[in-house]
Amino acid sequence: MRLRSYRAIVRNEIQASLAYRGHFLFHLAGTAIYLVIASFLWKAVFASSGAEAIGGVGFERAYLYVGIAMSLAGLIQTNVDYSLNRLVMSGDIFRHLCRPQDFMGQLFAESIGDGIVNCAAIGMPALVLSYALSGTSPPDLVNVLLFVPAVAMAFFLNFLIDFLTGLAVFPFHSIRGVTNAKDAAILVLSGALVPLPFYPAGIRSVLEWLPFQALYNAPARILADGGAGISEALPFLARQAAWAIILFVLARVLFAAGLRKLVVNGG
Amino acid sequence: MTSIRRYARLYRLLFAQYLKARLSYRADFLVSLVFMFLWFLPSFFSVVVLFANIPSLAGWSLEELVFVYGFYMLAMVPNGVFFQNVWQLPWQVRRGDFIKYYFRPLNMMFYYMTEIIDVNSLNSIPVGLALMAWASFKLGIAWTAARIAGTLVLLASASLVVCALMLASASTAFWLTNSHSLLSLASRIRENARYPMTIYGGAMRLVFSALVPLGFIAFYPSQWILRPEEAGILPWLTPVAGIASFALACLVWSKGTRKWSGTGT
Repeated sequence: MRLRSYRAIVRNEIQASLAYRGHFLFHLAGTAIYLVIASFLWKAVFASSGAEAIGGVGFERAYLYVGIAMSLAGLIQTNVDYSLNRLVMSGDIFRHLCRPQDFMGQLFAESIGDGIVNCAAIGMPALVLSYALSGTSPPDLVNVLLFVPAVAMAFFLNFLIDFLTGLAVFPFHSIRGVTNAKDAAILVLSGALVPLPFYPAGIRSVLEWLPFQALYNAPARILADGGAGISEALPFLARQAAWAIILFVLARVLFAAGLRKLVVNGG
Repeated sequence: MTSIRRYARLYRLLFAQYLKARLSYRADFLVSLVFMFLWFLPSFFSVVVLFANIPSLAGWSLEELVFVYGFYMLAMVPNGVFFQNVWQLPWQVRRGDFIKYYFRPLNMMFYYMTEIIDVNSLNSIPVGLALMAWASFKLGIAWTAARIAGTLVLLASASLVVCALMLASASTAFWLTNSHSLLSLASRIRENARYPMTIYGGAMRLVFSALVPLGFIAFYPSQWILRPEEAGILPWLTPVAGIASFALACLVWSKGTRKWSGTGT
């Protein structure tokens, strides 16, 4: 019964995000252009290095990492930070709080609705395109099967990070600054723009323990590295799960604290 | 003449009004001031990480690309300060709120764009200048009066290209209803203005020079300062690109505002 009510939220959100379908076309076009530009950039990088492989990674694999990260970026975006900001500033949050479902659960159900549509309309086509442009053969079935839970986990982690960022609305009444900092941190620390194998060893060993690499680096490596299969994927999945637990607890505690400060004037 | 004075006075009043509104959330204003300039960090950092692996990118050194980067950041400032409101256009048009701009005896673009005068974007100036200063020091560029004057002209023209790109993308809202994705597409493609245009293949370079004039945002103008001997005529087409693209963007805007029929609410 409880789960069914969340399913209704997911269904609603899917319908809402399908209302403006033209948007997917542009997003996909944008992703395609980005992927083509990235192929020029990475070809230039490898041509300039004069070596076949940098840090043990050749062009095809480096390009695949970037392509997969790009596809994931379209899929795991939740914008929950902005939703939370809007709900608190407008006072509409009281409507969510009055419902019998859990508040975070409601926002997560909405995100899942968006995520399902984004996965089908943006993520999958972009992934196919990345493989086509990289010139590599399709991934093994084992890697695909391990990739799916890694992406699900990345989605959940990104939701938690966005939710935590959105909580900045309680002390600051707006999240612009903090959201910018978060976006910058993710791009720099996750390996979304430049794959982690290209980072200097010292920095890389720190980054591999942070939650940000779990968003892009982990799924991309699991899918693109191939060969190693489960033994390589497990450490990535374990670290994702550990961060999911930590951030989940943190989000619950901080949200409860923020709620105590909340004042909504009658609407 | 009187109308210029009227608009200058209005601008002053609107700006004061905007500042007051922004300062009502003081903590956020201060946090944004500190964090806003972080937007440049990811792409800058990725260039630095790349250069840990390669000596040069298509023959361009790290110092030269840092210079291009600084130029790019400065060229983005006018767009960020004066045209920040383009990001609201998709929602305003979709919700129908845009109708209010038709009801004042003011130039519509002036009225619309002065609603947000984003002073936070100014913090790109010290960062951009610092990058350019560091690079010029490393490369031994002598800043003669002529070079400074030329750079200012190129910078102004490059800024026009950025403003035009964003204005034109946002204005498609009048036809598409939702132009937000096109705007974020434009801002993502814009990022590639920081790389040497020479890494792109012939067709792509033609697109980035003539169709979506990305090359004129940072690379071609910087070429005139960094490598004048191999720059050729392209840097001096920057003013042409700037004025032409901005005029075109204004045309798209005014056609759109005349065509838009509201939402009926």
